[in-house]
Amino acid sequence: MLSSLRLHVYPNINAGLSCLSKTPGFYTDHGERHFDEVVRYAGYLLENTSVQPDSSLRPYELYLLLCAIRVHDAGNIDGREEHNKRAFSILQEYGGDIQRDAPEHSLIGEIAQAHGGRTLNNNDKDTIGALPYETVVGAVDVRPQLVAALVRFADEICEHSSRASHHHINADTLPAESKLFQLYAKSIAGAKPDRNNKSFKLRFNFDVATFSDQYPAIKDELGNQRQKYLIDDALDRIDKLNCERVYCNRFLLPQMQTDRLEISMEISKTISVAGTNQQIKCDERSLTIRDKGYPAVPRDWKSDVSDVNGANFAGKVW
Amino acid sequence: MSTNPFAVSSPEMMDAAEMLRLFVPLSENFEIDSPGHVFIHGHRGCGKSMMLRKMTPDCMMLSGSVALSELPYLGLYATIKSTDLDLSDLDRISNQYAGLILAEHSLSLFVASKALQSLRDHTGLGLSNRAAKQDIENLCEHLVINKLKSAGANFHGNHLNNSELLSTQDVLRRSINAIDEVYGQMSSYLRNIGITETYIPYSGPLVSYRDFLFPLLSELTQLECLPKDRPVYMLLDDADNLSLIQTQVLNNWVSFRTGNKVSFKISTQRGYKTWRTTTKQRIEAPHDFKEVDISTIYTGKHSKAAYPSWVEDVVSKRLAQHGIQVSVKDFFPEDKRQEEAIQILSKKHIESWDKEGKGYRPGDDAYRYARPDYIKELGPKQKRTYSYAGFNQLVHISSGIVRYFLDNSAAMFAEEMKLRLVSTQEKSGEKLDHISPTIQDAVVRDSADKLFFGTLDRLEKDATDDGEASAQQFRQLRNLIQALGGIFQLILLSDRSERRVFSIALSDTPPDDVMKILRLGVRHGYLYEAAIGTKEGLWRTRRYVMTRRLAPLFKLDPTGFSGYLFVTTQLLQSAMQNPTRAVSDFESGRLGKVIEDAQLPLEFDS
Amino acid sequence: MINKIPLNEIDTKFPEGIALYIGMASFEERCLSILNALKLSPKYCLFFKNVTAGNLASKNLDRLVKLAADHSSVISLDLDFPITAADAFTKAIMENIPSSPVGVVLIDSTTFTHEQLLILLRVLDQSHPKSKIFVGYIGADRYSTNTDIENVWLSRGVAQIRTVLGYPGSFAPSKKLHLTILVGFEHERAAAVIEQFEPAKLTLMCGDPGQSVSAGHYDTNKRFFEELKKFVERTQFTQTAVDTLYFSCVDPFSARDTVSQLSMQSNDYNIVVCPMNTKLSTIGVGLAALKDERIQIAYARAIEYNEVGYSTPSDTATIFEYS
Repeated sequence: MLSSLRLHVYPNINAGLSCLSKTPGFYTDHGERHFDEVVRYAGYLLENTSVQPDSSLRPYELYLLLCAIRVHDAGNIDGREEHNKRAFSILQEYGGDIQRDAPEHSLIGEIAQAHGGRTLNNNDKDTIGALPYETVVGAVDVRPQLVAALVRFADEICEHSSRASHHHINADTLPAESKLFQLYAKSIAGAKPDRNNKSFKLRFNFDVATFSDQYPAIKDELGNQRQKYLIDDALDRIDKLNCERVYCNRFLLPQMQTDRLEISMEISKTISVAGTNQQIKCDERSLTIRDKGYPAVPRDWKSDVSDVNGANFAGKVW
Repeated sequence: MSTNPFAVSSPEMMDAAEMLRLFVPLSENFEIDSPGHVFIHGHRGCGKSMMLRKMTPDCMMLSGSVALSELPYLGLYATIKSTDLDLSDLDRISNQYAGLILAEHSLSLFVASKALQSLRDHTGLGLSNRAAKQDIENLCEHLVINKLKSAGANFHGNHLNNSELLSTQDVLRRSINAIDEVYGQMSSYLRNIGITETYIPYSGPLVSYRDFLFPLLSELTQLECLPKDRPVYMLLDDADNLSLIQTQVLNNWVSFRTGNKVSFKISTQRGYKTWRTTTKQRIEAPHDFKEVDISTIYTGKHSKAAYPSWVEDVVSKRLAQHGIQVSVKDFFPEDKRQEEAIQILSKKHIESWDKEGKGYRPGDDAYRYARPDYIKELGPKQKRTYSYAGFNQLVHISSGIVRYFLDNSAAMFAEEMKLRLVSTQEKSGEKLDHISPTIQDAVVRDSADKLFFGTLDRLEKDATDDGEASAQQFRQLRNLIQALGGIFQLILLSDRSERRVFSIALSDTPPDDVMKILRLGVRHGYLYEAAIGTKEGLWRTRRYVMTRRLAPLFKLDPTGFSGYLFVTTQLLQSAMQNPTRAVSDFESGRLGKVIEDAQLPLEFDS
Repeated sequence: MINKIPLNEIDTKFPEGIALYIGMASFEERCLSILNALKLSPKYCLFFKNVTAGNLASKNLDRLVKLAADHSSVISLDLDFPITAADAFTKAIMENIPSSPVGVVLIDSTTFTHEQLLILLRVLDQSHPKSKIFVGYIGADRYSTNTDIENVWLSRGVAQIRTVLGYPGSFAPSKKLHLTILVGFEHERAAAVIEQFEPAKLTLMCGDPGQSVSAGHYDTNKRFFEELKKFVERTQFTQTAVDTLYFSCVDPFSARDTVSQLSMQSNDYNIVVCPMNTKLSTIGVGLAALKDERIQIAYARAIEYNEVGYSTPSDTATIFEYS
């Protein structure tokens, strides 16, 4: 299956994404390397999970995880919209012998599909909850929700600057609609789960030059498009990441859960010194987002960094 | 058409004209024709299937003189027979993911096939024009044939080529055949797995509601030839016949709130196996669906005059359809001698009301006591037996379920025909203009015997959270019914002021094991449930009415009742173990008390 | 070829003895007849027993075990779980009838339930054992021996109607249902089956009285036949599209051919057959369904049986080679 995907699917995903999406654009990298990276990040999430029963994945679940990861974003080859729903057909086309067990094929497709989108039930985002908690394939016990949560969270945290197109950013030749998510990707200096502390460390490196402008954001469900500062977009994405963390934690085993996000932001500017460009650090912010307080009243973590907002940073002299 | 006007005929086999000839609307409108999922519960024979079949296009076009495209919704009828889908072989994989997937697959295909069949059979000439044929052909090609192929189906050239699709019927036939073929591949798989422990993977095509059935159904009303932009109602009859996991899959579909596009109207005979989805969530009314119980319509407050009048309409139509030109009361005559004797007793009560009357009016006493007195005069051994003949009594005996009336009538007709053939050598059914009281009486007695001694329905397996009903529980139910029948008979033959007692009310809260037996009785039609105010007037308690189909067995008057037997848990438990002892305990005044309360709602108090 | 022989001559059919005897312990005395009559004990016996069986069945099991003189195994079956029955049969066959011939195997079909018997046949069909397999059957002389004529009964109620494992049929959702019932004395169960299925087409197959139980000799048997006749007539008058035909309930191959012919005439229908007559005719139904996968077999499980007086055994055995 993997060789078939490497040959026929992965090389064409970025092109399909760019041209066949309803909103064509210059998307971040979704090619072969992305799938390898998601596998790597799933591996990080499984680090230090004990070999005792029910503390980690069973061998067959590992197989399902890897298969699901390999196809989860492959549907982008035909455009971004509802790409997650095409996992099943991708498997059918390129999955080789997987079709010889149609229920297994279906299960991998369902797990892959659950990494995004909505259920048919009234646009519910709880796609993992729609899977069985536990089932049996052949004579093997399987936990589809657990596997799907690993796929989803691994995909969510698998963001770093190598997915951005540095050339086009530096040359400023990106289409306007693509700048925001490309700049965001570029600003991620490091992203790695710390299993010892059950945290996920996300390190940003912002250039102050990107603070002054607003960029077109992704259109919302009503088709409206607003302008956004990069820093505001970053905060929204961190918020989404946290939501995904909380959501996926529901289905992950305790040893796999991520209790908090440790965010650090290094803000620097580029100055010319004797004809050479140098990066000077202007500011540094860090914060930890964790589940705290009474659950019914979620703590607003943004109040800890209340001065970190687009309008403020745009007008600041660094 | 059968020569028996009361012959069992399933609504799915009736055409629209026959449906309209026979269908008599229920006296209450349950508003099941608005968008949204609905569960329609009712005992077998209370009219659910007729109600659903009436919602199909051919019946609606005929009754409303409306064109197909102008209908308010598109109703597609599907009946689920006992072993259509619930196969023992599926038990082999019921706890596996394959079981879940194949349940969804089989149900999706089954409903899709039935939907297209209904489109073919229940739209009259509405789709017979060229434009409609083209639209249907495009839809079927895109959403049936191509979808099945993408799901992995290989059609081996058995179907018509496009050039041979001359009519919409041909187009639909092609798609139906394609679905049937894919369905058959699953049957072959099941045949192999049922008998062996070895895991055999299923490698055939797979479809689901999301990818196959829902797109097909929702796109139908995007066509100009069908009610455009209107909802599709999938009318599923007898969902009790699904297995547990298939029921869970259907619940998944109900949990998808797609009512504006596709709604399920699902009938059950009170044996729906679970309200949980495949992810163990519960679907709930009113959030996910609306729930109606149409068997209570004629056992509750509407029963007074509505049900007998409705049955009269139903029977009149059937007799007229068979060229029998007599009234229903003449067709089912009473035992004249018996009625005359009862009339004499009525007169006596009227005449003596001044001195000894108990009711408010002379007529009250005549109504209340004349028939019971007659039965009492026959004595406990009944040398001359009480006759249950007469339309009025037969209606009451049917206990609010028209099917029971029709089943008995069919048997009576058959017996009468046999007798006529033997005695007169005549073969023509039109000569039959009445059923003799003797035969009427014999058939209802026979039915009562069968109901009590032999005809118990299938055990429910995990129908609700009640768990499995065992043979022992059925025996306890039978004991309970026997005890109640015996007690009601004692009351009828006594000198109490209210003797026509047919129900019990609970004066305390029985434990689970007793409630289980009562619920079992309700589920299988031996008891009907309602609620009444307690003696103290503080809150409501449960009331259980015994089916009058058992009246002949216990020599009871079926024509009316008032008053309840308030019972304790002790009496119920005693009855379930030893009915004879329970009856004698009641007789000696130790257990149970008859409460007369004319202000509480009465049944059949005509 | 069907051989109907006096019970006391049964040994003549097995001059080299029986390597393996398979039978079902039951509340009916008939479960002992064949083993009792065999002068030369089988080399090994497999006795099946229902887990929920009462004292009578347990006592008869003890007697069977004694007759087997320590060369036996007892395997429990649960009437509510056909899957476990299938697995038990498969295990028993694999362990006791290996792929190379071991001599004659005799299956006493008399007191298996119809469902269990059909599952056993299906398992045999799947296993392709190489040994020669014979089937034996003891008919009943009289039924309902503990009641008067007015109150004869064999079973009461219908617990569940389900398909028999291994015979799911091949249904097309678009086809209507043709139900065929091989009606026996328990016609109330048949009525429940008809009510449950609501078929578009109904065929009632009735055992030819001349060939079946001694109808002429005993009043209780006569009563059963009369009740059966009434049921058939009533059904004809109250149902639409009813056919009736007689068939041999003592020759499984003839029953097979009758059912096969019926199914060939019902190409436009989904076919369900519900065998409620003799075990021999049920074997015939099974053979037909093994040949024609379109046939689905359904079974109506009774709630309770007249264990005390169900039947008395006849003194005649039917033996045939199963192939």
